[in-house]
Amino acid sequence: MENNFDEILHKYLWGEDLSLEEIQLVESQLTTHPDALQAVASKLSTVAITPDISIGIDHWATTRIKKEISTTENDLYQKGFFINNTTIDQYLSGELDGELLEIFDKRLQRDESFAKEVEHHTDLLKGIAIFSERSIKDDLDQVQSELERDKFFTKPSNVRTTTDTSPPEAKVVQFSFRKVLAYAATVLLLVSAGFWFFYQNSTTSQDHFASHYYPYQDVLTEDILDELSSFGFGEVSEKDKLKELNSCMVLYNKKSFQLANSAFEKYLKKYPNDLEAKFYQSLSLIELEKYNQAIDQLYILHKTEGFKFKKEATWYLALVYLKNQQTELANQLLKIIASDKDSPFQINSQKILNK
Amino acid sequence: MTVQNISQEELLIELRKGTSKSYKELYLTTFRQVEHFIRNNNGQQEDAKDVFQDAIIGLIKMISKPEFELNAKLSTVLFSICRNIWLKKLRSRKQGKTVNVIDNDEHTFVVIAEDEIEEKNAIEDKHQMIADKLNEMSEVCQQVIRYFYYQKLPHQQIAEMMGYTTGYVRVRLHRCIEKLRKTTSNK
Repeated sequence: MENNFDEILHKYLWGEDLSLEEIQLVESQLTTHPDALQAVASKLSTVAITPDISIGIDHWATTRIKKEISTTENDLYQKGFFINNTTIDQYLSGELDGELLEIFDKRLQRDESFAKEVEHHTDLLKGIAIFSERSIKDDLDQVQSELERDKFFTKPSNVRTTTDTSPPEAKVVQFSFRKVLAYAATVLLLVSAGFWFFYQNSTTSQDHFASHYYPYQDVLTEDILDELSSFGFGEVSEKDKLKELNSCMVLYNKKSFQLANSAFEKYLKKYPNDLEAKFYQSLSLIELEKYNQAIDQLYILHKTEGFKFKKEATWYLALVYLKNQQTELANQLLKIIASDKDSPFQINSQKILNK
Repeated sequence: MTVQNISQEELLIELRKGTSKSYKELYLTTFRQVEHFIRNNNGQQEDAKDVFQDAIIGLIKMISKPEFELNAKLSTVLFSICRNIWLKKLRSRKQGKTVNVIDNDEHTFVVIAEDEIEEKNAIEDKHQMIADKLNEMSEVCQQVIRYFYYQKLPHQQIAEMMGYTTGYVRVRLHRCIEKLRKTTSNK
């Protein structure tokens, strides 16, 4: 016990990892048994007396001294005992005043190494600021890209921007009639070309969806029934789970996607880790034309290493992206699938990409 | 994507700690307004993203001050900081010409003193080096140093945030800063 305490105290003084209980143990000892402290202090001085160790002693000394003898505290101020990092911080932020500021300034003048220390401390503060801002920005970037994935930034803002609606600056320009005609023709051409392009574009991606999408076949039920039949009378909860999943799949197979979806939802609330159920739910969502929800789910499945239907999830995600006219994202995925020999959708992807 | 429901006090605590949860909440509640404002005043979404990040940093420093009082919604404060930063940018772009601001009635904002938003200092190599060293230190050191030296939170508050006692925070902080000092001193 004794040795153990010494060890903890040592860790405490050196700022190593401790549990809250251990910290409190040390501190209660420090405040209730000042004699024990004296012993520790002398022990420490024979073991390893480095200037650093003084901070631990400094800490209990300050708390004790503050409690007991305020005159000694004054004395220590005079001797510059309290000039440490904290005082340097206070000095740099302009919080020092009166007597302390005087002591500080005096020491700065006559003690060159102290002046250097203060300068280094200023550098440290700047470095710390850079580090802190960088780590905040890293975290923000991460949140931002997460939101990017959720299309937070691409969603059409429903707020009207005044630059869009404000009337253009009035200009007085005189056109010749022929010029006006020529302009009009060009504008008409551009508009119709644009329209054609847009129309073409949007129909093709939707067409791809239509021609390649089919609801994924049920490959689960067989397994479920298999597993169910292999159960004895025990393991009731597992059995219940499979039964419930089976009833979800029955609805899915009946193409009652609305009912299937809510059944899956109920099921997934109980068993949120069942990825296979999640996969079939997202297929139901596609059928219900809830594309954004489907994307959210499929994305997770597509990113899950080792998931049984990972390749399927990627393929369906690509298709939904097409349907949702997120062609860029769709193409990225299609390229991955097209170069994946093991994917059952390799050829289909190549077909879409080549069009 | 649903707006998370957390109270202002909770958000304040999370934000001081610097959790992703708090950042996300700010994006969800405030980014659209900021983007709207900046678009209305000669800016793009990319500008809004930059300004938003700088403003969150300003907000974190502001709420860490002991004298800070929560008397407006944090999203309102954040919007106001964004507004200030953007106006400052516009002014320096236009160099002396007056900047007309288009504010929308639906936005409320609080007045924030210009000097609340600190100018960014030029980054020197030695400071960069110190930041890199700090990056190699333990997670706990990084946190206490950031909380104390950057956000200037009092020991007591850091102790509460990290589940330590004040005395231990003090010792730990000293150890960490000494380590940093040693690894970065140019001897």
